[in-house]
Amino acid sequence: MEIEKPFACASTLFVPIVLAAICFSYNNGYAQQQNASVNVEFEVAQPLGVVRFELDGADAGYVLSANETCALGNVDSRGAPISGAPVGDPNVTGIAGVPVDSAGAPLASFDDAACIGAFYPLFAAAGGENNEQHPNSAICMFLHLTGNPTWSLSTSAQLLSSTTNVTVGQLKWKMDATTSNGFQSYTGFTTSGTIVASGNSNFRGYLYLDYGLLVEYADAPGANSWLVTYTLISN
Amino acid sequence: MVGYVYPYIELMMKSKLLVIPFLVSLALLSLSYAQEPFMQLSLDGPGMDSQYGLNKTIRLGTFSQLGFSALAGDFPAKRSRLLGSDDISDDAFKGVLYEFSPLTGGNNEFSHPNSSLAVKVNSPVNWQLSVSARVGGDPSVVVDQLLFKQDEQREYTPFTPAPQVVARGSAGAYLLFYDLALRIDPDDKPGVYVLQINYDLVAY
Repeated sequence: MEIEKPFACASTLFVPIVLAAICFSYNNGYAQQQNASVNVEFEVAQPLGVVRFELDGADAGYVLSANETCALGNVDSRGAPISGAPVGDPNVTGIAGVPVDSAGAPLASFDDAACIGAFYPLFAAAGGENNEQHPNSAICMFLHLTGNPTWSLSTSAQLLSSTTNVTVGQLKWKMDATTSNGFQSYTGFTTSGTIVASGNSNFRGYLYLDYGLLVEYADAPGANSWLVTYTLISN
Repeated sequence: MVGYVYPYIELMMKSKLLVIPFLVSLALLSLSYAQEPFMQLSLDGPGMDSQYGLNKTIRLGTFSQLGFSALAGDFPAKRSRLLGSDDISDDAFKGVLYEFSPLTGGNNEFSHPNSSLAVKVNSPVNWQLSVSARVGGDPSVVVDQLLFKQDEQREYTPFTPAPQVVARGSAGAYLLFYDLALRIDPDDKPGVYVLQINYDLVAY
């Protein structure tokens, strides 16, 4: 009896112990869902901004490069059609000058007292350009900027060789789409530089520029040469 | 319940004959505990420590929109692929895809040099793993610029804000290896970005 009693007690107690274990394990039963996460960090670098900048001049071939030539042939102060220019693309041969006054307004005659000489528009027609050909503009420029930079394209020029009285500003430029009226809508090149275009976002495309050459009565005959520099800056 | 246990132990201490039932009880307790499996999910990133956890960070590094080499990330090597065109100034150019751990195979639980991410699944029942992602802050990048694939696969799948099921299995332990890729678009703004990938393991 002394032995059974404790056994009886043990039997009674055994059940709650097992139940406790079951209860415990039930509370820790398998989860129906588990979650985990990964934070992926990366940085997009500040781009160089200018990806590509090239141009094509009025020389032969539609090939973009960093150095181009515009050979304008023979001109005179009374607007004779251009002759002697090499085959170019676009071709300047045959383009005639128009009489202009000192403000750039076209005149009816080279004999007008206000006439200072001939202005040769290179080229008068607007539009018609595409990414391979620019028959109606002297310069085709390709710009590609990324990273939403603040950018500006400027141009300056210097006379490499010149005859008496010829100045830098007698070579002029305008955007192709701008209407021509004498040289009033043109900007004369300067040695200090002029902004051609600017922006503050990505840009990928072509700019077409027309040139114009003012040949004044006062200019001494001879060969003249300009070096035009385009500078694309991004921040 | 605990209150029942201590008097019982006292009784056993008083009588040497009670040793046997005490051991039996302990055995039952231990057995029942072993019958309690649960679903486990843990991750390990590209680090060398092989420490699996529920929250991991992967630093991919610094990337150029033009396909230049990445810098200062957790991965020793990256490979970039220009998308759309090999000419970055071409209209067809659509950005750069950086691939991490592009090689296949050679991975195990403790070392997975050829996968960006190891996912460990342990489930007592049929399971399904889904993944979603989101971009923090005010970014110019979008979730689907981060892509993944199983290590042995060839094509990447973009992450999406909505969960997408990436694996299923029956009861058991599994190791899944995933590769990551990042697409940098030409219009992405410079800056630091954080994408959070969320894995959900559920029974089904």
